[in-house]
Amino acid sequence: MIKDYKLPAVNTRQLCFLIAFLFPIARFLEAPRLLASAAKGDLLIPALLSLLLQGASIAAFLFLSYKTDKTLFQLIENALGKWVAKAVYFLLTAYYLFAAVLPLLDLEKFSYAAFFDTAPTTFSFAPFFLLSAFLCTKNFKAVGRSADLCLFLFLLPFAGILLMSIGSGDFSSLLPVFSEPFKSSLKAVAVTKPHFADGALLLPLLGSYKYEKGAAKKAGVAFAVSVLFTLLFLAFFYSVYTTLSPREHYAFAKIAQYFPALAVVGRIDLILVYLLSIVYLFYACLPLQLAVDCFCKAVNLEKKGLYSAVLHIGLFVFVLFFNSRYDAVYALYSQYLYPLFFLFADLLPLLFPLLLIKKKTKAGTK
Amino acid sequence: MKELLSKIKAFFCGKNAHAKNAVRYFLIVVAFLMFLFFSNDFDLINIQQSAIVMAIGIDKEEEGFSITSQIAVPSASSSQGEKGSKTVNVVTKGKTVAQALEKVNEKTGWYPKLVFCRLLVLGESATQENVFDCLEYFLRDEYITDGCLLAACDGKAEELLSTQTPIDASGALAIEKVLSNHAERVGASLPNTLRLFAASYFGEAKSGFLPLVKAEPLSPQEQGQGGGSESSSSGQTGQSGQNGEKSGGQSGQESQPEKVFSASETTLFVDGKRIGKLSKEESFLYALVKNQLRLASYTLPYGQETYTMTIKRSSPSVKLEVGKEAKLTVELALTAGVADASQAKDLPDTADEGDFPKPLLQEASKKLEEDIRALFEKCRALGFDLFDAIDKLQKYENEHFEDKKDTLLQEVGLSVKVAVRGIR
Amino acid sequence: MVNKGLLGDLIARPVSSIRLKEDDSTSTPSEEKEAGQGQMGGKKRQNAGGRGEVSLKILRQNLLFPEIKEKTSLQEIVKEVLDGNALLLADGVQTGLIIGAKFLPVRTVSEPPADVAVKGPREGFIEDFKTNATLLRKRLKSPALRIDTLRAGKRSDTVIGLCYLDGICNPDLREALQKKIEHIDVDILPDSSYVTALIAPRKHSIFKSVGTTEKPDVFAAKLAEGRVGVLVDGSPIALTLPYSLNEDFQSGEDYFVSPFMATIFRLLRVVAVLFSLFLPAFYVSTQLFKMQLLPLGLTLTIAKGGQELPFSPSMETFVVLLIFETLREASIRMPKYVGTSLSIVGALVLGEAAVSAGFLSTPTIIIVALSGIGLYTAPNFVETGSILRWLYLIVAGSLGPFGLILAAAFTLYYLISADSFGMPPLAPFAPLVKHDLKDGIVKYGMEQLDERPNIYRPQNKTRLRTRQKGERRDQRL
Repeated sequence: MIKDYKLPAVNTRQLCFLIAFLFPIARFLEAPRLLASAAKGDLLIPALLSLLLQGASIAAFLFLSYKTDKTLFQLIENALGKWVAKAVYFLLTAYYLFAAVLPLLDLEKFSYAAFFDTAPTTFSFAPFFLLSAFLCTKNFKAVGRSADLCLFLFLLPFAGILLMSIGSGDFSSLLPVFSEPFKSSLKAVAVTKPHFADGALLLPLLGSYKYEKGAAKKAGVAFAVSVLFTLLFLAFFYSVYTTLSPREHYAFAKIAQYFPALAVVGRIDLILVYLLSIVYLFYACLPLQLAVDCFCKAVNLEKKGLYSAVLHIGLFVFVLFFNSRYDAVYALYSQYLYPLFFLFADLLPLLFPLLLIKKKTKAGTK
Repeated sequence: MKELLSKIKAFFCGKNAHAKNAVRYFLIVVAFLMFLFFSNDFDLINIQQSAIVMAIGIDKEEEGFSITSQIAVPSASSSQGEKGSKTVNVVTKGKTVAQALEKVNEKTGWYPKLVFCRLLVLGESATQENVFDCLEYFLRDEYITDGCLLAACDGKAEELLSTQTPIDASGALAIEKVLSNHAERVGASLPNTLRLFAASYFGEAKSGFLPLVKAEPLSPQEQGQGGGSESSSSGQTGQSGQNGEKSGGQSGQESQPEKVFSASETTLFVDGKRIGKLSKEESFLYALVKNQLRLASYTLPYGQETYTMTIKRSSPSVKLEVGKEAKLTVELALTAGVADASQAKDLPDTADEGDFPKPLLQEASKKLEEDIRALFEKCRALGFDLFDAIDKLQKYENEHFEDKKDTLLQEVGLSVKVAVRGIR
Repeated sequence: MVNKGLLGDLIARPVSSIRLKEDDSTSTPSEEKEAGQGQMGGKKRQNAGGRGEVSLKILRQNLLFPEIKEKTSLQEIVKEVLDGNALLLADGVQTGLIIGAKFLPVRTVSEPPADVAVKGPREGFIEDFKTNATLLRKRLKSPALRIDTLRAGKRSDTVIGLCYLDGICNPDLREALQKKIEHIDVDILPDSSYVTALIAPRKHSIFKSVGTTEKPDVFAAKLAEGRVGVLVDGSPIALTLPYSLNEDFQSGEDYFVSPFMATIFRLLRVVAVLFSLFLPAFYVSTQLFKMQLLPLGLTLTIAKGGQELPFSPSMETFVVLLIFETLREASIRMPKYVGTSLSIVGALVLGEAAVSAGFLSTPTIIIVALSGIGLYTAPNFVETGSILRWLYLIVAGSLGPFGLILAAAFTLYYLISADSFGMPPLAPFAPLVKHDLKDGIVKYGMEQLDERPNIYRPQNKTRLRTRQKGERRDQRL
């Protein structure tokens, strides 16, 4: 067969696109509402704080990929042994499954609101698991390429939605800045942590992504773009809904609907929303893809099909059971379990570079 | 069992499992989808089973709400387009709005779909108490857009929606016309949407306004023309149904006089309750300081004559300064031309929108300043925050917000400067 | 199968003259007889061998036919004869002479009906391999053009020509393809589509993994970009590899019109195909699941149309699409002289009458007709597009727009992960190859397309030199 040309599964461009065009979508659905309910007009401040934390995780990932070509598993294995590596991978599997829950439930509720006129049965959401199960059998090369696709699927609808909603917004509603106590912003950071926990999603890509010259600069720009998109969207959202923001679900599906021409031509904004939904689908599947990958690496399973199928049957049952307890799950995550996101998405990526130091010390002692 | 497991494993994980099973997967998925496609009855409510609700009128009654749903009935025999569609008004009652709306299904067999509902009309009774008692449902429901127009009326919303009009086949569409963007731009009405009204209700000032829609009789000449035309609207109150509910029918509609709608007056709300009304002239002034108007008309007496100005452009600006004393500064810059005068002029002055006499400009400025001040005082007396002073206090003078928010409206001074510039 | 006239003039006559000369020489018939018998073995054979070689030389010197091959293996000789060539065996000569006087019935070179161009060359490939190779060579008069001849098909022994430009084409790709073709073990290869099916890495995919063309100019241009081409004897359809989906939205004509016009054409094709794939599906979705996608007036018009129909909206669209596909299939298969009748039946009876009779609604017919026409803006995508359209319609009728979005996401993800011959079908969009976007949906001018597309990993990238060495851009005239 044709040689693979030793190309990495994910290149710098794709990594940048992941950061700039895939990760922001996580904050376009429920995060604006949660931020507004905790921080009101100051919602940009907690968002910025969360994004800075995420930036640190991304920087740590880039540092790791700069220093080593090894996968995360190999890195841990070299430093701490195979069984520790396996244990960490099992933990990561559990974390990714845990992190996949909220996007999944959000997606379910969003699909009922944006794709139907009347509330459908839960089974209408079931085909999502077919897609997700399929995606989970694919490798990181596909993840990288999906990031390329996101360039088109994200930019065009995002720009369209913002343009359509600009006339309905009152940007003065964001004033005054720092009107709420800083405590509110910190609370908002905690409550929305599950939506700003993308730092952990890059970890398994270590080894599949090879650091290239100038990558840090490019990733920095991509991260800045990601921050800009997020803040811009949040500003638009709050300017459109102002005091109603804390009760507005599914932000990106709604803010363009007040565009005057839509009364004449129909809800064409929904076409843009649907295109963005594809990006959200990719995003919602990403933790599941990583969970499957980590598990298969931990148990040394090459084919992912069986595990992916079993996992998705389980997830479907989970959704069937929990979709009526949506608020309870949300409360559980945002009130009690959010420290886990800090641990895995912010702290862990910052700790992994220590493995390199340890390795050096070991080499030194030898 | 072991064999079965190994078979399952081979199915999913075997060598080239996907390639080998591709046709099987494909057939299974297609068979499943075909089953769904042809059975197609998983609580689906298709276009033929739906009542496309175009407008809703809400009246409050002693024991709950009376909801008038104006439903578009696509008729194969009628002409194409919205105009050819018949409308039926279905009146249902319930302790909550949701309960009343559910009864539409009970009465008609159609499932009410509110996705096309672009107008909510609040009857007088509904506005006497907190209107959010009845609007709550529409804010909660994800299947109705909160971008729909919201209006109030004197009397019953049911009667307003049942009014026959020569303007459109459906009363709702005719009302939408008087609440259009164009009407807003020329200052003919002050339309509001559910979203904006709710945002002001939940805001600091808790003040909001709604256009007051009225059905007015046609002039005798107009009536003569319109009365002869057959309307396909069937909105009227007809037979009594169960529990005193009514549903629209065809009978008797010809006998109803045709009317036209106007929304030139405005109702004011504080804390969700109707506290007052602005006349047509006051509403125009409010529109002038609130929106940027284009091609609006303003008529004023000057000496022995009456002039009508065309306001080409209005640029209002309202500023709040909180020093020792709080002060609102309203600046209104108008660019206007003469549209007409009650007495004939010399030939050069009759050219299209001839020169504005300077004294007239001054008179217009003076009169507008006075009227705006009077309007502000009227609203202040009602407790209505006309210039969003409290909102401005919160945004721009936040350090004084907690101290002044309760007293600002009563304390604030007003300075009005109107500059009218003539344009040919 | 043989041109007898040529054989008589250029072979038989010269051979008879040799005989006369030989009669004048020292050799006697008895000696020649010995030489012939000498093949049986021993010393005599050696002598006879010597005599035979001499005769072969004389024979070759005298034969006037331009295409003569010497073959000694019986297997090869049989192959050549079965190919339609003549065999000349001379008594006492160990070598058989293959006379390339094969005369096969071939049609003339004409414009391919499925690939019509308003501007640009109108020649099309035919079923004859040699003619096709000639048409190619006519356009690529370069020694770098290689046509490696391979054979496949146990019974048909079909000639397959692997065409590429040496020094440009990626050798890994060529080798991989050659291996694949060599491994073909099939009874007969009646058409190049068999080769496609047998070498495709994803045999069950509804997406093509090999590009096709009937036009030598397009074929030559694709080879010049660094692709490998396959000509199959007996098939007018040439194959090109690797294939990207983008190719189906390009036409040979795009390169003969202004880049602006080409871009508009391409955009039009993409939009038309997307419309054609999704329009029936969205139409059904709006009626069943999400009415808001249409304005109120249009919704009411559709509702009016469908009010007294016996079918549900999804079923109705399914039926109309089925009728459309049936008519399409019939119009292709039907003899031309009944084609007009078919149009009348299709347009009047099935369209007008079905609406009047209340079986179908007018909006549905318009939607399906639009969708049907739209797909033909990209003729090479029709097969795939047709399947996808059915699939999306069924998904939309069952699961609504959410199902449709899931199906679209599934299709996209499948495409980004379904490499064939090292080529992702969605390239240059995913993976994004910035350089190749110049000839993607937007087409740049000739000067900007100065390098070959990167996605084919060509050995030599330069396609167009617009500057002399050392000349600056602003120095050009």
